[in-house]
Order: sequence, then structure tokens, then C-alpha cells
Amino acid sequence: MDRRRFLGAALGAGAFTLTGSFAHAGVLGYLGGRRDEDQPILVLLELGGGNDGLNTVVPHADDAYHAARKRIAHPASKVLDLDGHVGLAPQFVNLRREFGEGRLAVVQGAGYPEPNRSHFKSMEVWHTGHAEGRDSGPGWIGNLANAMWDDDVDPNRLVHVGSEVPYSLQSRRHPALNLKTPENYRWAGNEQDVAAFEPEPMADTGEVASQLEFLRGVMRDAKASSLEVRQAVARYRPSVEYPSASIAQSLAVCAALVDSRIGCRVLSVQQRSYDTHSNQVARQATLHEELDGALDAFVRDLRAKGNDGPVVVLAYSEFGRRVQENGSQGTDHGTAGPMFLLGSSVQGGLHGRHPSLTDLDERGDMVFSTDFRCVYATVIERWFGVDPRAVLGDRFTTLDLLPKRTSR
Amino acid sequence: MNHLHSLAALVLLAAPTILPATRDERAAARSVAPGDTFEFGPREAEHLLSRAGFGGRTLEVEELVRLGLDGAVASFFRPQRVVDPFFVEHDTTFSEVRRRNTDEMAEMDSEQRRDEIRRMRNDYRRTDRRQMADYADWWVERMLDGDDPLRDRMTLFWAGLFTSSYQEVKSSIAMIEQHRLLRDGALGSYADLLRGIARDPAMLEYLDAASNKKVSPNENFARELLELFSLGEGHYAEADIVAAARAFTGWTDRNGEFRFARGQHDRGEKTFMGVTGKLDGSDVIEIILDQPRCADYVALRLLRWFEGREPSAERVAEYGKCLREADYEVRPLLEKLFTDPRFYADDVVGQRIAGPIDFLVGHARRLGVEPPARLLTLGSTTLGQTLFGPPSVKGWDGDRAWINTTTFMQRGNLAGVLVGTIGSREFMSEAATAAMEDAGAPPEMVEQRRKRRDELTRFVGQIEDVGWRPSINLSARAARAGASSDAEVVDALAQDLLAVPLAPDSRDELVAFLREERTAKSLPEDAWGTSDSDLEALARRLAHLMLSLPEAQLQ
Repeated sequence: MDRRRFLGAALGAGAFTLTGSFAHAGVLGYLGGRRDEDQPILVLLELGGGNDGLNTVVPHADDAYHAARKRIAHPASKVLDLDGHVGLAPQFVNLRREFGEGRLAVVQGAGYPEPNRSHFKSMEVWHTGHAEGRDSGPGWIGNLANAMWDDDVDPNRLVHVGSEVPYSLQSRRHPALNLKTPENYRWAGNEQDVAAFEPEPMADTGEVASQLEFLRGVMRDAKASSLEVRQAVARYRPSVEYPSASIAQSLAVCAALVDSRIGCRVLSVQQRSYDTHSNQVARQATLHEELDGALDAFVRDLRAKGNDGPVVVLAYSEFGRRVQENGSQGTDHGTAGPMFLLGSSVQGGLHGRHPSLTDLDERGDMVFSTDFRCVYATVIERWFGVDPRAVLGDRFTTLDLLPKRTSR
Repeated sequence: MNHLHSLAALVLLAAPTILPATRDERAAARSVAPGDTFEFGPREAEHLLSRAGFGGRTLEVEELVRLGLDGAVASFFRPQRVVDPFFVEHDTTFSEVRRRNTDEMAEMDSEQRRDEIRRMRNDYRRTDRRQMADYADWWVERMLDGDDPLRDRMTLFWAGLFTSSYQEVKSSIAMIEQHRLLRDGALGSYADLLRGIARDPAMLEYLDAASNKKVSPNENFARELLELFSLGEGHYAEADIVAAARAFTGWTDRNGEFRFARGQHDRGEKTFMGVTGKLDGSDVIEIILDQPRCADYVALRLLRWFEGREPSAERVAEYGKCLREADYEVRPLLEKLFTDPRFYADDVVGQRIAGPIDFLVGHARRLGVEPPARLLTLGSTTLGQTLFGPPSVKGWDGDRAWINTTTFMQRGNLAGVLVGTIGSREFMSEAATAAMEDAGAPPEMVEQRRKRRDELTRFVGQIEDVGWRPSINLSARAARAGASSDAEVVDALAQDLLAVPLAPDSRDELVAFLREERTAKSLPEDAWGTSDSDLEALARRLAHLMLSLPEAQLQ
């Protein structure tokens, strides 16, 4: 049997290998060493478009809130109160329950100095943890991957479930795997023919990798991950019914990947359309309801399977919106907003203080109270056990959102 | 394929008249780097055909070589055929539809009326979505036919610069009107396009102009105008956005027409980019056009678009100057670029990652197949590029952002549909759900997945139902190129289908594939060109495999 045929046969046999006793080691286990069962996993949840933080974590007891938002404020009576001063938007019934049970941490007023109000530039700042955005280098998760694994590459570690991989997952050595519909994650009709190709890294020129070299890397990752990922998702039987919203379906895939233990360490999902310049109340309510339902299904599913321990969800948006509503029952781009950390290992509660609604910057926007990089630093240090300076290039105070590493 | 016809036309039309200005400019460009001339051979012609158009067959490349550099470049500024504009069947708004039905509805009680309105709205939306999809197909047909390739290439550029999305605008006619603005002016003046786009109803809808009022300005349009359409981030102050938003208050649209709502306009004094006065939107646009940075920004975007890499600051300045001196007419800039030796440098030729439209249209043209346009519009969506639906106002990120493990595999799969080696059965869900069954997924889950076949898979099934098959004979093509051995066949097809040479290991593997598959089927090595269907099937599998490789993603 020649090499091509042998490889094809091995590929076909993969299905049997996986259902056998090696299932949890993963076909690629040998590449990156042992894939321990309960390695910490981070789920990054990006709320794209600039979620209006003031109508998410609502300072309902603040008169200034109601005064600035005569037409779009959530009435205090409908807000799901957290501490007598702020509360969650009415749609977050399930998140409110998680908060009550100590599994939801709400970081108030997260932002950064000299805020940029462009979606793209601000998102770059969030993706990299640097004011210069992409010019500073890889994304923060890419840097984390470099710090954790260096040259030990395993394509399953960083996975984006959705269409466009966010820049946070970018790095040269640890490209993120991307899947939208897991069962289509394959070469159709000629998978065995393709299997014979082994696009090894070409001679390193020392320059920026050529386009061809980049494409060969993607092909290597696709080959290595395709079967494993498909099997992981196909074999998974969720313990709850996930809503049909795309964010919920993406989280269902995440639950399958967590359960399969094929070595995923950072999972990324997105919910878009938060750019509510007009008709905000109805639009944001739909999004918040979808988000609440999706996260509820996800955490209940994880818990029912005993998979909740190693998983933490981190939700963020590129900026909050202006305090003052605009003329079209919406809000324009602003600055600080809340971040959420959700999971059984999270130290729940309200963290940081809510920014003032009257002591505003020169543009009429709130001044952030917690640097979002403190939240990143907390995740990097306490969740992944890596020195945050190695990832963020600077020292940021860690917060008590997660237990200190020694106590786990 | 009508390539032969269009080529004949191309030869006839390519009169040797070149605008004197063009010649001067080229001379000027060359005098900067004397001796930096180059030969316009097949490599250069193919590059020009891929970048200024959407690629083509080897024969077209040869024709361009025959025309020489100047003739070849000039040919891109002449349409090969006059195409009728798209026939708009449905140019009403929903409120018009409703108004027409008021009499009928007067008889109904409130519940019936509510149901009727809902039904009408759903009907309207469905018809409108269909018209948008038809229009996208029409555009892709233009690209496939190659009637006016540079115009379509530039229209795609403008649509990525002055983005609007049907998802937000929700009116096919507004999107079609905007597209006509961009397509008609695609090779004209940037300044005219900017002036037009600021009054374009689809753009005004997309960026919330209707809510930009004196009492409460909405900054959405002003911000994107400066950040994405004209100057670029970092070349204006936040205060300029506030001033521009005020200047544009009252610019809105109604029933598909631009409308200036006098009462909503802020007539007060503003200071925009250092100019103070009772500025309105037109003033702001002229002030922007007066900024030297504006031409530099547009030049930067054009260089990035055509060369697929980040241009140096010197080149941006050089091309910005060209655009300024031409009063924002883009043609001199394009002529300068297409005759610039640096455009044909090794780090440009074959070094651009093809976007989804480029990949699909380009390979269809290089293969010489004529797939239904919808296969390409739906396929492109699967690969991350929905025409009339950019992911955000920033347009498509492009370059490496097009490629991830998913899209890499899907590109190969779509290439398989183009060459006819796979159909809906292999293409997606069927085999995929079979894989789920193998993996032990419960039957109800498999069934559920099967029902969720996406639009593309359903369409691949439909084109099979109507019997579409690629009319190609790759085996004959290889024979015509003089290939007889396995290695020669691989080389001949690679020459025809790929813009870059195969990496040595890829080539070896393809030759091994061909030899083994041929031997397994007991086919002779030197029978290419005979009408043996087994050989042709094998040639197509070879092409499918070739188009699934890294090299096929480059142009």
C-alpha cells in the first residue's frame, strides 16, 4: 500500500479510534503532550457594536440616569436590582439568578484611558490590551498562547465558533481554529486525496511569513482538526434544549467542545448588532433576551454534565454608549461599560464602582472606573497561571473575580 | 463561454491611441527610477488580468501580451459589450404597498387588518429579498462575462469603501440605486462619488441620517465619513466629528429620494478642520476634499486593494499626488499603477489572497465554466463575502482574514462543485450527517441537522435537478498543451488554473496522485485528449485537488 492510500485508510479509521479508549486523549494528543481533563477553559463572549452599558447594568436609583434618558430608560420598577443602586436590565432573569447564587461577577465601568469611539479602533484596544491596537502585535489571547505554549502547537486550543475570528485570538504561532457549522468542517468528496498532502513548514526566511507559508499552515491545522472537531460535536448530546438564536447555537458547540476534551482552552463566540443609534429599547431587549437565554442554557448544560468547573465566560463590548440619549431613541458611541464573568468558579457579586453620570469627560461620557486590563490580568494570572506582564506587557492590579491560584 | 468573442472585440478595440497624459505620467514615473523598465510577458499579463479584472483563460493572457502593456491597459478602460441595466421589477416601498390597499382594509376589523398588514409585510420582504439576490447575481454575471471587468473590479472596491448593507437598509431598490451610482462612476471621480454618496438614500438609511437632527445630532454618518470614507482614523479630531454631524443635520431621505429637512438643520456656526462658518454638509465635503490627506487616504486604499499589501508611505504620497493633480479622477492613478514596475514586482504578483468573489469568479473563468451566478453569490456568502452585505461599515477586512480552517476547506469544496466532481450529496449535509450517524449521534438529531441544510446546499441540489454540469474537457486541454506524462499533465493544468507555481512537494504529491489513480484504474499514460470519460473524471479530480491547495488561494 502506498503512502497516499495508507493515509486515506488511517483517516477513515479515525472514527473507530475516537470511539475507543483513546477518545479523551484526542488523535493529536501526541503533538502537544497530554491533554488534561480539567484544564481551565475561557469562553470569550464579544458583544459587538457597543453594548449600551447603562441599560445593561442600570443605575436605577440615580436620578441623573432617568433625567438623561427620558425616552429609553428602564423604569426602576422593572430593573432586576442587585444592590439597591444598580440592577440588571429586565431581560436578564437567568443571569440575575446566577448572580444570586454567586456565580456571576459584574465589573462596573470598565474602560481605558483616552477612550477611542471608533468601533474598530476601540475593539482593537480590547483585542490587544494596548492603546495602539493591532500595531502593538498579536491579540491578547495570542500573546497568552505564546506565553503558555511557546512553540508547542496544537490547532484545537483556540477556537472561534462563528464567522470572523476576532483579532484577540491572532498570533503567528497559534492560529485559531474557526468553525461555523461543525458538520461542514471538512473536505467534501476528496478528504482522502487531501490527506496525502503534508504541507510542512518551508525553509524559514526570517522575514514575515509569506502568504503561501501562511496558507500551508492553515491547511495543516484544517487537516489536523477537521475529523476530531466533527466527531466531538456529533457525539455530543446536550442536557438542555438550546434556544435557536445563533449565540445560543454557538454556545452549544462550545459545550460540546468542552465536553469532548480535545484540548480546547479558549473558545470565542460573538453576538452582534449592539450599535443601537436608534430605537434602542426594542432592539437591545431582543439581544439581551437572546443573551440571557443562551447563557442560561450553556451554564445549565455544563453543570448537568459536570463540566462547569473548568469553564469561565468573559463578556465584554468595545465601548459603552453616551449617557445622554439621542434624538432617535437611541444612543451614540460612548466609553465605559460593564464586563461579566460567569461560571461556577467565579467569585460573584458587584466589582468596582459605577462611574458617575454627572462627572463626565469633555465629550459628555462617563469616566471608566476599572481598567479592563485588570480583568484580563485576573484571568491570565488566576485562571491560566501566567504572569500577566508576559501577556499585557505591563502590570495591572488583579481583582477578586476568581480565587487566587494557590487556593484552587 | 464568450471569451473568444470578447477577445476578438478586445483586439479590434485596442486602438493604439493612448492619452498623452498617460504617457507623460509613465515617463515621469520611470524617470524616478531609470532603467526600471520591464517586459510585459505572460506573467505580467496574467497579473493584470487577475487584478484589473477577474482572471481568465491562458488564451486571454496571450492576447494581452500581444497588445503590449499600453494596449493591454487601455483595453481595460473600454467595455467589451454594452449590457442592459438590470430590470427593476419592484421599486415600491412598503408604505406605498400599504397605501394602495387602504380601501380594501377599511372593511376589515382591527384584528383582520393587523393580520393583513403582517401578511403584506412578509410578502413585501420576500419579494424584496429576492430582487436583491437577483441583482447580486446580475452583478456576478457581469464579472463572469468579463464585459467591463475593470469597472466591476472598481465597483467592488467602492462598495467596500462606501459600505452599506441590505440587512440594515432593507430596500433592494435603494441598494440597487447606490450600486448604480458606484458602478456608473467607478472609473470617474472620487470627489463626485463622495458627493453622491453623502446624498445617497441607502447610505443615509444605513448611517441613521434620518435621526441626525438639530436638537440631537446623530454622529454615525459624520464619524464614518471621516474615519472610513475620506481621511482615516487619526486624521481628524473628535471635535470635527461633532461639527460635521451638526453640518449634516437635516440631510435625510424620503421615498427613495434625498431630502433636505430645513427645520432639522443646525444653521449655527461650526468649526470643522479649522474652517469656521455656518457650514452645511456640502461645505464639509468640500473641506474634506481640500485636505491633502484625503487623496492620500484614497490612494492608500486603492494601492492596498490592487496590490494586496500595505504600501509604503512614499508610494502613498506619490499616488496621492497623482490623484490630487487629476482632481480626484481615478483613471490616471489606475493607468499609472498598471504601468508601474513595482505593481509587477515579485512580492506583489501572486501574493494576494483571493477574496471569495475573486476565488470563485476567478476560478470559474480560468476553468472556463459557466456556473449559475447564484452558485457563486451563495458560495461567496459561505466563504465570508456577501455582496450588498458587508459585515460592518468598515467593509471586508480582506487578505488573511478571508482564510481560516473552515473557509479553507469550503473553498476546496466549492471548487469541486465548479469542476463537477462533487454535488450536493458530497457537498455538505448528506455526507456530513452520515458522519454524524457513524459517530453514533441519535437519529432525531441527525434528522434535525439534515433539515437545517443551508441555502447553498439546497441550491447545489437544485442546479443538479436542472442538469447543470460544467462543460469542460480538461483532458483535451492538457493534451492541447502538449502534455502526455503524468508530470506534464499536472504542470499543464497548474499553468492554466493557478497564478503561482506549485510548491515542489505539492507538485510531487499531485503527480503521485495522478499516477496512482491512473494505475489503479488501468488507464494508459498517453491517452489524454481521447474522449475517455474515466480520464476526464480523473483530470477533474486532479483539478479539484489542485484548487483545494494553498496555491489556489493566491492571485
